[in-house]
Amino acid sequence: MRDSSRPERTHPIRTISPRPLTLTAVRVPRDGRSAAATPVLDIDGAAIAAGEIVGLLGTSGAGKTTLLDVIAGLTVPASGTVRWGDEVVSALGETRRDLWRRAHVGFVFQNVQLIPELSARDNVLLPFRFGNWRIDGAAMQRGATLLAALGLGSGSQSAGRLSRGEAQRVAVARALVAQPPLVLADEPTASLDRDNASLVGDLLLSDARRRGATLIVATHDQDLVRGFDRTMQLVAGRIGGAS
Amino acid sequence: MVWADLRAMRLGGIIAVVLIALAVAIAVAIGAQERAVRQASARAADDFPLIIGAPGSASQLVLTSVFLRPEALGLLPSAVTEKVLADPRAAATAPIAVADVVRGHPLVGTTAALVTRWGRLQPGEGRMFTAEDEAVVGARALLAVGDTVTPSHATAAMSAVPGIVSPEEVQHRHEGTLLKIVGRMPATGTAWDFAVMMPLEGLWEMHGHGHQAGHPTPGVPAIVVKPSGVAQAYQMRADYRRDGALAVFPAEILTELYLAMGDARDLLLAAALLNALVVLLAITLLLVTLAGLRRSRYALLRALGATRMYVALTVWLGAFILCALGALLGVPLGLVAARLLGLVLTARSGLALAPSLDADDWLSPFAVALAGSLLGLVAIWPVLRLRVGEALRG
Repeated sequence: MRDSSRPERTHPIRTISPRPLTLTAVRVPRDGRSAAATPVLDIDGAAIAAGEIVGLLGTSGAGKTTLLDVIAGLTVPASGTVRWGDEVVSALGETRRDLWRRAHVGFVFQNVQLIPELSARDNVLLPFRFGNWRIDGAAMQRGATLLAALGLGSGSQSAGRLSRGEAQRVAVARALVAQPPLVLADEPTASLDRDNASLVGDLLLSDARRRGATLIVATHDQDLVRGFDRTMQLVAGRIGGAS
Repeated sequence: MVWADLRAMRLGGIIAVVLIALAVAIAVAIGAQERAVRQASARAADDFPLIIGAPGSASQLVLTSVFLRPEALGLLPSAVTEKVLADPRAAATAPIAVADVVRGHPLVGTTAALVTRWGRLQPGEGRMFTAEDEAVVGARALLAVGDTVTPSHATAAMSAVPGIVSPEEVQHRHEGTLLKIVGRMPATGTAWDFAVMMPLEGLWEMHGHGHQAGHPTPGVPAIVVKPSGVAQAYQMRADYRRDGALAVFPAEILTELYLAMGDARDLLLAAALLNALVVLLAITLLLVTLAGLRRSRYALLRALGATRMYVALTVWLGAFILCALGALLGVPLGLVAARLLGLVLTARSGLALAPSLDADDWLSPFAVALAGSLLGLVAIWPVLRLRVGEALRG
């Protein structure tokens, strides 16, 4: 599946500090249901080592997306803790969580989520917009290198006019451009053709390996997780097995 | 991000700006127009310090004498007329009779002194009238020096439009009377720019009231008086308010008119601002709806690390830019509207209206921009309540 002839990406690598990720007694109930109803997520404990590459498998509705949201601090669990090293992410206030996510997390969403009025390049550089008036040259260079490596040229085309495959590649570039120590990807190859799926999978894995970043990919695609350090199976919100 | 947000609104954003600009333009145009009318009418009355006429409406006396509005005024009795003309407290006097019409232009019988604005102006073309059958015309009159014309009785039904000879005018001609235009006065920016001005004696003659030595001076509708001093002005105003006369300072009548105009302006401005507020409310509703529809976009920004405040500021700035841009565009738009309206009114009244902006005119756009920025806070409500995870999937 992997194409070893693909050129090496040459963007500068930031010194990252991946830390162990630990979930303890994390519970996310279903909205509007009684506490007795089956929760969306009910994890007694899970640990992912710093720099580990993990595939998260499970059927639709098993809670994969919710788990990624909880790890990213997008959803706060009703109980339990999510730790990134010594930092209890789940206990941070909303703004602190936003800032933590900005500094630590790159996220590839299942439904791509580009801003159609911006160019592909500006979509890729979005993570740099929030804390800065101007984007520095090194960041621009990183964006350009990623776009070129993904076959998207200069990225000047409007995001609204990209094909599904191109859009997903832009979304991957956006998740990686800030070289975050934690990369989360939710069904990154869903609805992509084989070539595009291979391209996206390759990039996520090789980038994480090279930088030593932690990568967690939720997927149905068994091919995608080949070469990962391990997989975790989610069943009805619980971790049902690991390999 | 703000720009991307505004671009996403497409036509909606343009319509919002245009609606706000129109609402502001109405308010600006009302203010600028009212001020221009006030200034022009005050200038028009500068050469009419005191007017004495027959008892009746003071406003009508001023409107007919200064602005040449065609209304039949009562005549001052001969004795009063002679007394005013000979009053030692007056530095200069000029009787006026506005009764006839020449090819749609008002015909004014008066003295060369008033026509020359007490010696300040001289004919720009030709010369001043020296005989009873001669006349000069105002700068904007559609008559040429050298023309010979026959005046007509003005009637209540006659709607005089300069240059247009109405059937009534043809019907009521002073047959056999010929008036030669011998000069054209420079522009004064007043209704007199459309007038045909002739010696009062000639007008009397035309109406069969020829004044002969030893006979009483015929009564006149109004006498413009230039008092020799302030004290004399007030004395004359007091003295000629009884015994069959009415003396008024045009300035005091104009002040009353301005108060009435001011009330009307305030009412119109209030209506215009209310209109702007309704527009803003509608736009706020649009923005709130759009912010709701764009939940996933704002959730994406949050997921990428934007703080809640960053996203809220993006939405608020978008709303503020729309309002501020509309308010800013409304000012020149209002000025253009006021100037176009000024051209129409100048063509109809002769008053030189030159609407311009002053500090007050910026209050409306400022108020609209301020209101818009406050209402923009409402638009960020859906953003503040955003549940990022749900909105991203949804």
